[in-house]
Amino acid sequence: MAGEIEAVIIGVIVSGMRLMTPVLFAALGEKIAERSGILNLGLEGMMLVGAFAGFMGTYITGNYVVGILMAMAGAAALALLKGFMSITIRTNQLAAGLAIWLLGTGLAALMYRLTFGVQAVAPSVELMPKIDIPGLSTLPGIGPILFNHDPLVYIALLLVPATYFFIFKTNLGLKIRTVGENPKQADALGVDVYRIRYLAVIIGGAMAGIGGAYFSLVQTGYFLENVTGGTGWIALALVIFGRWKSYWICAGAFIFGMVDSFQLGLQATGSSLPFQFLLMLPYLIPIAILAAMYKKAGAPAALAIAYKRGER
Amino acid sequence: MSIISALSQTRDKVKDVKFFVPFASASLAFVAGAIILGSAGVDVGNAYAIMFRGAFGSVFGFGDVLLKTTSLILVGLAVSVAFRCRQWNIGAEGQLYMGALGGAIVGISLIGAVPGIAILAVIVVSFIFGSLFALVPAVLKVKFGVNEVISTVLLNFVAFLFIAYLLHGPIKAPGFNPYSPEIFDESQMPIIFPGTRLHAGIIIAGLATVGVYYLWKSKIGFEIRSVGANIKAARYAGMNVGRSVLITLGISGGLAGIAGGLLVSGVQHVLIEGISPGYGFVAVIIALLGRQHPIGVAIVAFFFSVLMTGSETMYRSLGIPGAFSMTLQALVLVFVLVGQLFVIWLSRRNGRGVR
Repeated sequence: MAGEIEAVIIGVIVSGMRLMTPVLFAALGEKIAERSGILNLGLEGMMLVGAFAGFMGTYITGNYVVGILMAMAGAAALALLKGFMSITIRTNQLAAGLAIWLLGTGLAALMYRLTFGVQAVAPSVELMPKIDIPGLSTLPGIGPILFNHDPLVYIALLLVPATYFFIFKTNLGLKIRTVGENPKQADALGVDVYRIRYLAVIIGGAMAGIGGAYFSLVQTGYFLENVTGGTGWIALALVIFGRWKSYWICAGAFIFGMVDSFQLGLQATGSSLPFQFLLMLPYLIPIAILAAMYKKAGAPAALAIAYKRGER
Repeated sequence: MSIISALSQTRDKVKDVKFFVPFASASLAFVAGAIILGSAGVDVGNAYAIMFRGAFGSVFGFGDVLLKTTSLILVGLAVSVAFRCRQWNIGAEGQLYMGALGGAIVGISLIGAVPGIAILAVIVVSFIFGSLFALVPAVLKVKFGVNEVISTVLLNFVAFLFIAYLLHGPIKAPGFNPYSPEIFDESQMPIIFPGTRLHAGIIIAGLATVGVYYLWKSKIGFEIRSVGANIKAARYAGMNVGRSVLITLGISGGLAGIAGGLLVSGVQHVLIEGISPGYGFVAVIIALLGRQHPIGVAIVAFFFSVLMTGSETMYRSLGIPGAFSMTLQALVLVFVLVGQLFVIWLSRRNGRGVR
């Protein structure tokens, strides 16, 4: 009996690890963009384009790497447009982000339908296979939780320390932070504010693209309209919750993944609560988390403020 | 020619261009849309012709244009009111659904069978439902500092799920489909133009447009706009910023709620899960393009309604997916925002200060 309970708990955590992966990709990428001062509300649209491009790439070539690269390229292209609007033209960052969100949502659905039309059996790709880490995947408990996943889970987990290291320990990371806190000073020190911001927003977009591709390549095997179901927005909430720090963002993503996994498990076991209420949890939890964070946030000082050289 | 008249001439030129640029940008969006369709092998000229004919080619089609304009004006105003106070309400879609629920509840209850009062009750209750649902993120913002962009977006999903739950359970009509029972005839908006689906709700949309125009001239409206323009200055002037936020989002959600109530009362006569084809999301673009001015919102709402109605015809006759209209609308916004670059560049070339 005790063994069964243990198996259930491990099962919930294992599926939670998979559910947190797309939101972790998107949130870590958005963290980099926001550290440079660019608020990207278009995350959800970029994820959808990633989901579509990743599906297309894999469907045509049968190669997951090509699919992931296409997802990164597609989302990064939208990020470039977002950068052009927010950095070069200096239009309101919220307006630009919302435009990108709706453009990505529309484009992903439109391109999919234009390519495949309406078919009786929706085209699909095989789900990305798991890779066991030899020697570690058989460890009791820890093995299935950490070492028995598809490659993207490992990459996402590795990106947590990697993005921390990138932002806090590298020269480029220091430049990104300076540009986000005080662009004028950064400029005076000879940092190209525009270039750094473009770079950061494009990195963020590419990572959101991988997060989107996770839905079509790992979770479903199909492309569906709005398959990301608000994940981009949840990622934005997690960045605030994580106070723009990788490890805290990972903790937030973990909570989110566990709640989502828990409610899916409850649905499967047939709880007396209607399943629609369980499905609300992944959307209510980020809001609750933000409310609990009351006034503890410390955003980069120049977040969502455009920089113009020579302007006082 | 004196210096002064030369100066005023360039100023006029910039003004003319400023007026013209958004239209040129919008046209470029159509070119971009044509490239997307063309690359998929669609005969673009024919497609756009069918789009135009779908909207203006028949009395029924044009009636549908005005019908959709009604919804789009109301949600566009809803989002505009919030934006004016710098409250980024992206939750108009969810508020619309809650308003539709309010309208449906009135319509299937006994009040919904009372002639005269029924329609009024539908409007009032749908306003209240939308309003209360928008007050959730408003209170979270004022009390706990929760970013309203994120909370309003996520609450859309909560609203969809709540409606889905009700339609599969408590208010489901007998039968296979997850529909509510049909509302009483007395709760149905009368059709004002025979042979079309256009109902009297368009008058309500018109009244709302005028109402928002006068709201900005009222004391409350002035406070809302002050908070939006400069929150610190408003606070120093002794205005109650929290109250302004609550009032703003209350009005905003209420307007979106009426849009939902009218969809039940004037179009579907039952509550269904997909009652809105994303009006609340398009509303964000409408508010931004209409510059949050009621007249601007009404004009853009009409223009977008033409796109949506026309693209439905494109879908029926050519199979061009419905997502095309959303893409085109987003492209219009992107191009208009980028078009600002041109205006700034032009003003700078003419040596005028740029904001």
